[in-house]
Amino acid sequence: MSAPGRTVQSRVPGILVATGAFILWSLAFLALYVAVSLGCAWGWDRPWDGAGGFGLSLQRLVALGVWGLHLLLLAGLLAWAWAPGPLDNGERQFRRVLAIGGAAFGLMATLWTGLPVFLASDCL
Amino acid sequence: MNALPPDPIRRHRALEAIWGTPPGLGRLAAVNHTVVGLRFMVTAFVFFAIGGVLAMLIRAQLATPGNTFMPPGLYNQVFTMHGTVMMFLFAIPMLEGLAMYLLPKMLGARDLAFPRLSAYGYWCYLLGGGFIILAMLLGIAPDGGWFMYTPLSSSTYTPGINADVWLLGITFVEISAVSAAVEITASILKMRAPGMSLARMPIFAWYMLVTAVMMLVGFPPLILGSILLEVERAFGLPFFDPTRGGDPLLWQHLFWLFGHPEVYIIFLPAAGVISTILPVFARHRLVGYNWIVLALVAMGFLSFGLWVHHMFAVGIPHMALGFFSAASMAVAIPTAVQIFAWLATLLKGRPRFDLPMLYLLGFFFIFVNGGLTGVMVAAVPFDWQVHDSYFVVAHLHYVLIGGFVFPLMAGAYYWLPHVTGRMPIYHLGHAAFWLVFIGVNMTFLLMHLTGLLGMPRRVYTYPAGIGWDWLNLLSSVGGFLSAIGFALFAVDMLLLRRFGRRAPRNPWGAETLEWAMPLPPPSYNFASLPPAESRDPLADRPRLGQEAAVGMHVLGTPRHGWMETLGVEAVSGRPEQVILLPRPSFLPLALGLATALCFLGLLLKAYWLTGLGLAGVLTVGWIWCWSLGARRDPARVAAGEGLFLPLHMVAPAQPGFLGMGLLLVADAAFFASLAFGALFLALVAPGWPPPALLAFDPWLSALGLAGLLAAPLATLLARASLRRGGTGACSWLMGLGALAGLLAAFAFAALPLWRGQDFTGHAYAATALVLGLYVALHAGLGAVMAGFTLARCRAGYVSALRDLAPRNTGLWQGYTALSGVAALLLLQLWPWLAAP
Repeated sequence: MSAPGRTVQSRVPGILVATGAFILWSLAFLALYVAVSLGCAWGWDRPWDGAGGFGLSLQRLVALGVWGLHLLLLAGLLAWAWAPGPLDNGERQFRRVLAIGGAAFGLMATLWTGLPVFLASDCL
Repeated sequence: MNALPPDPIRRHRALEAIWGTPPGLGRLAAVNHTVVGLRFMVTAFVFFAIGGVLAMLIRAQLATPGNTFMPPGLYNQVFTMHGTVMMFLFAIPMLEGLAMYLLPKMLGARDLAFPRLSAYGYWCYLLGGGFIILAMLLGIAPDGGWFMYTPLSSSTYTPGINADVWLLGITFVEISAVSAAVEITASILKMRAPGMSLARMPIFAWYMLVTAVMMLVGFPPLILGSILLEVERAFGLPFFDPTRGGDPLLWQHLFWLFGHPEVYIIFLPAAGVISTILPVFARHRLVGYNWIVLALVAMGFLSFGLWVHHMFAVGIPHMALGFFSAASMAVAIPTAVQIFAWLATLLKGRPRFDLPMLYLLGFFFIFVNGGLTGVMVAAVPFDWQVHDSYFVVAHLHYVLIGGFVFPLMAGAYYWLPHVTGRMPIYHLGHAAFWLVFIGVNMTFLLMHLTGLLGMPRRVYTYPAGIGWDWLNLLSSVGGFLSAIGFALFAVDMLLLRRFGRRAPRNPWGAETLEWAMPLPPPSYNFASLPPAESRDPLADRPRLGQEAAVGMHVLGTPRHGWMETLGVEAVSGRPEQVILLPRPSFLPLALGLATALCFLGLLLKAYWLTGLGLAGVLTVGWIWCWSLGARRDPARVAAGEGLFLPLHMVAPAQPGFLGMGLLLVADAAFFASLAFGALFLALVAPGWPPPALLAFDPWLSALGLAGLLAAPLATLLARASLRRGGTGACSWLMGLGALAGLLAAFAFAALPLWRGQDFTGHAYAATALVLGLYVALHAGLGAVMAGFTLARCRAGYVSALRDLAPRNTGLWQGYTALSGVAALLLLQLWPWLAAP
């Protein structure tokens, strides 16, 4: 995991390369679950009458915001991981698979697990 | 370095004298990973046999409609014990034992990082498991299902001690799981062959690393739930009682927060066995190593987002159900990555179908079917149709037998030459395979239909003529067939151990380091620690085992009676220290017995016995810690191959510090579960907001906070004074830290107790008490640790370099301060979260 000729990515600790995207997925998942739980307890499931609500409930707006923010972060992480770097040994290849594969998987998993924000009822 | 001539026999005798386990009663003092690992596995197999007999009793009862073979009360005990034994006393300990036995050998080390901790874990497992089986023999076994749902398991509906046996017995056994998780993680990160970077680790070690970290985070919610339910049952504090601000669903959340990751905790080590064995018999390197590691990390995270799929029918908002349903489907992707990698390995290789491969093919068939029905029940509408029916029983057995038992049986035949030095003969093994394979499919494939026809789980009998009769009868016949198969397997193992022909070194032509040693393995594993220059060290250097035996590599010369092994930098595998391991000791057994006394006192409500046990735990713990360390700074030592390394007690990254950090990860998961419980009750439970808020004394809060912050500060200053060479200042600063800890402990214990509050009226007050006592207990233990460090300073065990005691104390106190501040904030803000 460590090698000479350090790139921007190689300065990041290996544990973050391997787990960063999944930590973001976990945060997104937790935040969505908390937002729904708080929203249902506090009555956020009624339509939001403020500006820019598009007739959606405050709960759905918060969930959309949480979801969108994490998707953006994960897309940024994927772009960062994609940046070219030397692949001259097995250690670097290993690190690169973890970085790119992790970011791609984290992004897809966040996209997929957040889809119910569009599809399901708020608090039924 | 090579003071001894390259005579392997002489070297072997010298090392065996140092590393061997004493005979006779001395075996009770064994700490060697080979001995402890085998003990775990043999004991787990005995529990498997007990669980199997219970399964046969269940199938005998259900074979025909209206059967009176067992009364309903006994049936409840039998099916509860079947699940409990199989999950807690067979599956988890078996994987722990396998990891303990194999990891040091695969990683090129001589033992695990904390051998005495492994031995303590074993005694906790044996005593806790024995405790539960004894209760069954006495007719007071748990009878509320292996999941112990409230309110059925609360004292109103289960008034005897049956449920207490489960709650206390399982918590006792879980000590062993958490200690194994710390042990395995620290060992993988620190105890490897020179040059074995993370990217070069054997794939099994990756599986176990992910599993062990999952255990650290996954088990504390269950331990917390068990403590809360036991406190509710024993003292009437309401956490799960909806009439007093509690909620039975809190138990389900805590249980499944553990219970679903548990499925992966069981599956991943078995999958690691497959990833290790399959390439050997496919005669091709594992395809997609990097992608498999990625898939493992993905599974480790995703598996913590699935727990609610066990609760789809309890009335959770649809949007939340959607998140968990989607995550439950997504976890199939990393599982599939592994399946396809294995298939690709088979396709690219020239497979030879020896017996272990037959069991692996059985795994593919059964586990893939279990996985597919898993995706079916992950869909909420389908789950609602089959919830609590035999369809779910069929699904979980396909996953667990396919995903754990079949790979394990493959592993048993594969590593049999390693453990016994004997080669397998295949006649009985083939018969056992077909009996188990046909029996399992006959039992559980049909059970899918029984479930779809509407038969509910956990019923002790059913009426005739509604289409369930023949399915149940055939399931029972299949159950007995598989039982005969498992019995044949056990007989085969015993016969092979006695009559199998002698195994040559590396009989399968494998490429991992566990085969680079004589068979059966010596207690020290390697006479010198071989280098790992790739992922397949034996492929690059087939004579590595012989080279190690003549002491050509690292630490090849025994000296001073030291039990030496190598410590490496966690990522790169660069050698960084020589670790001296502790010798065999009766202390783990003594600590296990003292712990057993604590639990026995709680079960019998003889709290004086618990107090006695706690005193024993503290005393033995003190002696244990005191027996380690050195009174002067040792110089660097020659380690062979031109290496001069510090001994571990003066190395900067000691395994002991890592171990404390890992323990605190588990502790933080416990606290997070407690905070989750508090928030869940405030937001979801009926009867909130509470009728009255507790009046927290501001002076006590301030005193507690001051004590919490002062304790780690004092330790920080003590370490700074040590670096300047002042052990005297270190002593009085640690004394100050101990006093601050005691002050904080008093304040946090008194905080909710002040002014004689009633804690049985509402879950709010009960939870506040638990939060206060959690911080108080940690502050008190921090004070004991500070006192210990003070004594070590005065006795000359601590210096600027030998600073493990103050470092660990500071880490503990720092964690206590953080969790204490979080608890204070929660206590102040939490009631306001409740819906108006």
